[in-house]
Amino acid sequence: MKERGIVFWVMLSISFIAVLKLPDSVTNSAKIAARESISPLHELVTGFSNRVRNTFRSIQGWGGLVDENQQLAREIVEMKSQIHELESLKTENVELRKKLSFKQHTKRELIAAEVIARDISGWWQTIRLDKGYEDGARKDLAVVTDQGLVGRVKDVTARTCDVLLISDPNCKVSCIIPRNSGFGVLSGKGLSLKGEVLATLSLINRNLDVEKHDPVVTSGMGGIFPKGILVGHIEDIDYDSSGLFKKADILPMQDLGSITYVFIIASESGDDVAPMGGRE
Amino acid sequence: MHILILVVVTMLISVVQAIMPVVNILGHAKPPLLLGVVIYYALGNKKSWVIAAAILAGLLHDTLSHIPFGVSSLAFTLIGLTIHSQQENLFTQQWITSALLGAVSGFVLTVFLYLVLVGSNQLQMAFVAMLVKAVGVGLIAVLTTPVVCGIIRGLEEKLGLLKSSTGEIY
Repeated sequence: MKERGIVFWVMLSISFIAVLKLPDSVTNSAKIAARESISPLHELVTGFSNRVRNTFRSIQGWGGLVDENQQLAREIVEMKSQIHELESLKTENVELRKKLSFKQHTKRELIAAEVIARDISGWWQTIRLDKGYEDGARKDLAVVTDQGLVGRVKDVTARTCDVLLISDPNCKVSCIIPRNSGFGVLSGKGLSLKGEVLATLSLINRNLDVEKHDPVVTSGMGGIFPKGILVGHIEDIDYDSSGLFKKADILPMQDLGSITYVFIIASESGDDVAPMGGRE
Repeated sequence: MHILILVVVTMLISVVQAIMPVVNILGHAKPPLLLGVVIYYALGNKKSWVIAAAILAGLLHDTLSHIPFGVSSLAFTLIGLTIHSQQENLFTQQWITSALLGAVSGFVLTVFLYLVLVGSNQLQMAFVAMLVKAVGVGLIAVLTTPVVCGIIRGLEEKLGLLKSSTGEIY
């Protein structure tokens, strides 16, 4: 009986060691296959939970619909005036570009995607989207919302992709402060216990005049994030431990804990496209 | 039929765990629902069922996260077999048993995964932050483990797969 027990433990140990020692290519293929087979169930459960949540929200928000309506109407008026202003600027811009013989830049192509899951373990700041390489998603493409940068595509399967959020310490973004053209590297620091995104802009030239509330946008360097996407605003400024550079705490524009829909920037042509994000 | 219940329930629970948000105030702890599945099978079943449940739950856990393949299965199997070895000393049908085992197992699982992930340079997290998270997972498991165990037990009873008085599988 005792011998059987020893054999059992030895066999179990060997099995686990064998699985843990499998090459990455094999384990990744297995993960992708398993993820693909679960994705329909994911979409089903997410759709159901979204419907339940929206029903509760509509019941809760019944009394506030009038206020919400007024607020939306105000926003529409503001946006319409902004559109007119932008149209005149676009016309002027087109004329100037023609005169300067600039190449015609195409717009960014966006893939709309729904968030169907978050990291099951809670260790990483990632979300899973319902779009994969069949829909045009590719590794290292930038992911945004109307409010600004969300992160970059990390892993892609046929029908889903995982996005590493800017709040994750592994996500580094080259950024610029448009007011003074100062460069810095944004690194995520996770979430605070209140759920706020923590991020730091480091390696800022110590001689630059950086102020609280300065907007921070992507610089376009590094080859992953297109230029001009709003990341957030500066909250606090300090010198780093060496004293050679400044560092700043950044308050991202996007509440990463509650996003349900995002856009993957599928293609980027030209190097001087219009800034995205923000509602200012 | 019983294996089908195990597979379907574990898959469904893994999907629900994936869409559930983290609890920020508890160190961004995620409700450990899959751990509840392992604890359920460890409390009232044979060793082979415990291993099957632990491996399946672990593989799903690793598939839906960036944890290296097999690590969660190993952790779940060790936890499951430890609980199983103490079956005779536990009130296996009491909700308080699953609640307390969930709390301890949730804490142990979090510490284990942290050591593996930090040791393999796949995670950057302060030890104190991990401790807050481990306590958070343990606290949430007090609530979620009895619920998960109750759901699976109820399902097996409804399908006639379980003797409701003893909790043994037919």
